Amino acid sequence: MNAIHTSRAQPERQPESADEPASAFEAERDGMLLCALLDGELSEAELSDWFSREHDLSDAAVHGQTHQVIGDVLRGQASLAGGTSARVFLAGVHARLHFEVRAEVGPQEVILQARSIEVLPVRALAANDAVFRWKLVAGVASLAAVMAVSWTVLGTTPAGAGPGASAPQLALSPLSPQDTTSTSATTPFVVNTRQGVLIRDAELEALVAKHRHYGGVSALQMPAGFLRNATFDADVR
Amino acid sequence: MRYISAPMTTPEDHTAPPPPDSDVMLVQRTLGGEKKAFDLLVIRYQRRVERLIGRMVRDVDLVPDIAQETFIRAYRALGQFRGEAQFYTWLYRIAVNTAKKQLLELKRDPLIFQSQMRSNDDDETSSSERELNPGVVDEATPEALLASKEIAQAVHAAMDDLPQELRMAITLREIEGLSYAEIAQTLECPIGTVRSRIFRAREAISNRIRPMLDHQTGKRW
Repeated sequence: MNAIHTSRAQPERQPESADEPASAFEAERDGMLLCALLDGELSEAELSDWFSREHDLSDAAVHGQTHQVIGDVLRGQASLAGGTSARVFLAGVHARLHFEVRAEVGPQEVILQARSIEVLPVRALAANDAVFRWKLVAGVASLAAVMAVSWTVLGTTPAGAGPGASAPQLALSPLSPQDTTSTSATTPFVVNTRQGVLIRDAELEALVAKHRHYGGVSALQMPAGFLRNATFDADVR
Repeated sequence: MRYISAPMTTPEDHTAPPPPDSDVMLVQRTLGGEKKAFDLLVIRYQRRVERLIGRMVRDVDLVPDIAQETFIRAYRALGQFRGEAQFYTWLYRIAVNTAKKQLLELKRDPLIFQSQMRSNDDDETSSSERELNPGVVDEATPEALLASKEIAQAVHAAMDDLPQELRMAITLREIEGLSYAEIAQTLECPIGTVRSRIFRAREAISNRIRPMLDHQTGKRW
């Protein structure tokens, strides 16, 4: 019957000579304990022993991951590619845990910190500050443009004749004597021309007769369509 | 010589759950304020969690983030772990829930989802081909495949060069999934010897493949 060897405190390898550095032996022993620890084969006493000493866990992570890669290869696992570097991964977890711990600072600590630190009223630069400035400038420019247009429109309107109120007032007001004269002067009358019978305005007729040399000729040396009916036609009259 | 010809268990089954007290001890130490204990849990289960998440989300860029989120959530909920189930079973549930939540958030955020779709469309695999082969994982780039192949060759070459007793010990551990006590019984030697042999075998192989892994620093391997 085979004897069962279950003694844990019998490592096969001991320091071979006094020349071998004790630190190398310790390093190998630590590595062996880590190897067993990652295999889940460490007793509580050995675990306490391991924790009692300083260890670089980023190195431990690299060693552990290398050992796991070896196991994956030997088992023929197809997903050999696709792991993150253990050192980077552990650093990422550390960073997030550090953030978590800072976020979990108790209220008393917050009060103490608030008392000890004088907070200056400085507004942090917002991400859209530049855009906001442009929007502010554009708003001011728009307002100025609207004011300028309004000023121009109001300035050209006759005084006392506001838009909307003046027109009805004029329609209802009785005609003045001057207005009556002008109305009779501009009384239309019928003129028989070569182009047919036209209804003419007396004042326009006098004006065209005075400046007959301009009649029918535009600045473009061709008859202007919209003035065709206003051409002076003395012969027929 | 290859050592994967006749495993007694499947690869997934092999990673035989370690004695539960080991993880429980680390959990208790973490709860007692010893952060290094939680780091050891992270080191121990990082690859398994990443592999699990990688099968769910398929987007390799998301895997490390979700895996880290898994460990952060586990850290927050560590007080609720009572040791009734194995630690990895408990961690497995957290990882699955975290991955599901992440997938839901991605679908809710069409901007991210579309950008990821676009980046996926940039490669040579057409979307129709991807639909026909939903099991195809885009992570297996030619570079990664080549690196994996070279690492595997180096591991097998290093195994061939190992002394018989070291090769036996690591084979029984990694391929057959035996515990140290079972290996000690099989090889008729003390557990301390088994521990030493397994460590020395791993270190010998590590020395061969570490330059390759260092070369991959910053990349996913």
